[in-house]
Amino acid sequence: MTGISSDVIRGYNDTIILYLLLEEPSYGYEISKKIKNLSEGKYVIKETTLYSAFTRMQKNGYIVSFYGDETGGKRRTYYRITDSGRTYYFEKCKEWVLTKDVIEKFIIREENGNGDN
Amino acid sequence: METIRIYLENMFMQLPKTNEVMRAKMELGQMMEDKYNELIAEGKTDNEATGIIISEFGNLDELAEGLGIHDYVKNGGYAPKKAVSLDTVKTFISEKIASSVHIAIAVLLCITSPVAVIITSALAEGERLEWNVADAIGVLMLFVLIAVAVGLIVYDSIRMSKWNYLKKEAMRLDFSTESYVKEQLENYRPTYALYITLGVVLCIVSVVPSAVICSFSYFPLFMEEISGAFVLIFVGVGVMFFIMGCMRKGCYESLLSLNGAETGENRGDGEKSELEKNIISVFWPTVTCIYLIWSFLSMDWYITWIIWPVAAVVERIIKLICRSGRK
Repeated sequence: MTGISSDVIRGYNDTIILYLLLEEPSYGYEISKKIKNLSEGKYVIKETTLYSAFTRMQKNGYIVSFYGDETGGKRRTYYRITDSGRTYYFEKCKEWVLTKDVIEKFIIREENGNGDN
Repeated sequence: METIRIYLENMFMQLPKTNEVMRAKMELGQMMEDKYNELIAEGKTDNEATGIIISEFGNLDELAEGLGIHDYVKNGGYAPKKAVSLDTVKTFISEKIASSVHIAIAVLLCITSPVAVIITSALAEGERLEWNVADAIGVLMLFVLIAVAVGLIVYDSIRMSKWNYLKKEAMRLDFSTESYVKEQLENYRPTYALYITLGVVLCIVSVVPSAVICSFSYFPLFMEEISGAFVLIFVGVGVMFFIMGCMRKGCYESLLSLNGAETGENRGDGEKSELEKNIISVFWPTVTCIYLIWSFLSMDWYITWIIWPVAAVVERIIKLICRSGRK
């Protein structure tokens, strides 16, 4: 079975998370669930990957965290995208389009097998 | 959910408790809990949900940089914390049990070593043996027994020293091994209770034979002379049970303390037993020395045995002081 290589996707975890935060602030599990659903189950982000992305992006000022009010008792940490986060996101989008164009030139698509990895 | 909580605890056990680390732990815990609740709501069993969550958790190396513990993970605390395999742990436990028997026998020999002196003096008293022969045989036997005991202890400590790395290097138990050790400890508790009880009972009743012999005049004089020997034998066997019980329990607890994952009571226990062990390791040899010196100088064998029950009480007090000193 071929899955997504974590080496390949690593550079774009931030982009994926920022995309989900563009609409509205969100919290850890909700983000990971959305990633799974949007990718149709092809990419399940690990909790540690997600959390390390949060801390990294907070340090870079792309997102800020705040405590949301929860009915369930525990306060969840929510994340909100900042302006510099938006700027960064759109830069990454451009970068990806370029990257994709370049890589595509070296990819052979076979009818029967799709040999990525 | 309990399993997941323990899993997370273990993961973070080895990390320094900075604010960042505690926050990460809390938030990861929250994510896992959310996921767990949803999986359960989808109709997964507890086991299935736990399996999925743990397999999708990832690993701590990834967190290292963000948490400012990169150097720690790379050089010190976390990375060299190799997991001890279940087989290694099983071998360790069985060797430790064998070792506890050796030590227990060695201590028994030490405590009962004057028995020969008592018997030969009694024989000499009864004019069945020349005094100088009696002394020679008695003292010879005493030193032979002590030599054997010391030999056993030395042999054993050298043999067991290969396990020192468990303490010195940072090692930990993986999840299943830890459960195994916990289970063993639980299974052992009744035996432990039995050993300690036997030990206490034997120490208490140790004076009964000599008291009985001395208070009734129809026992031969010889019996009266050697009655002190019964005390030593009883106390010796009692202490033997103590040692076997405590060492085996200590073995399980020291394994569990590698993870420090034991809750409340035992976390303190791990540290405390270190100090306690140091004191106790010199305690009984010292008591034996005092006993022998006092007995030989005074030749009052009939009373010097009192040092053993007194020592047992003192040991208990030392332990209590160690314990309260911690808190």
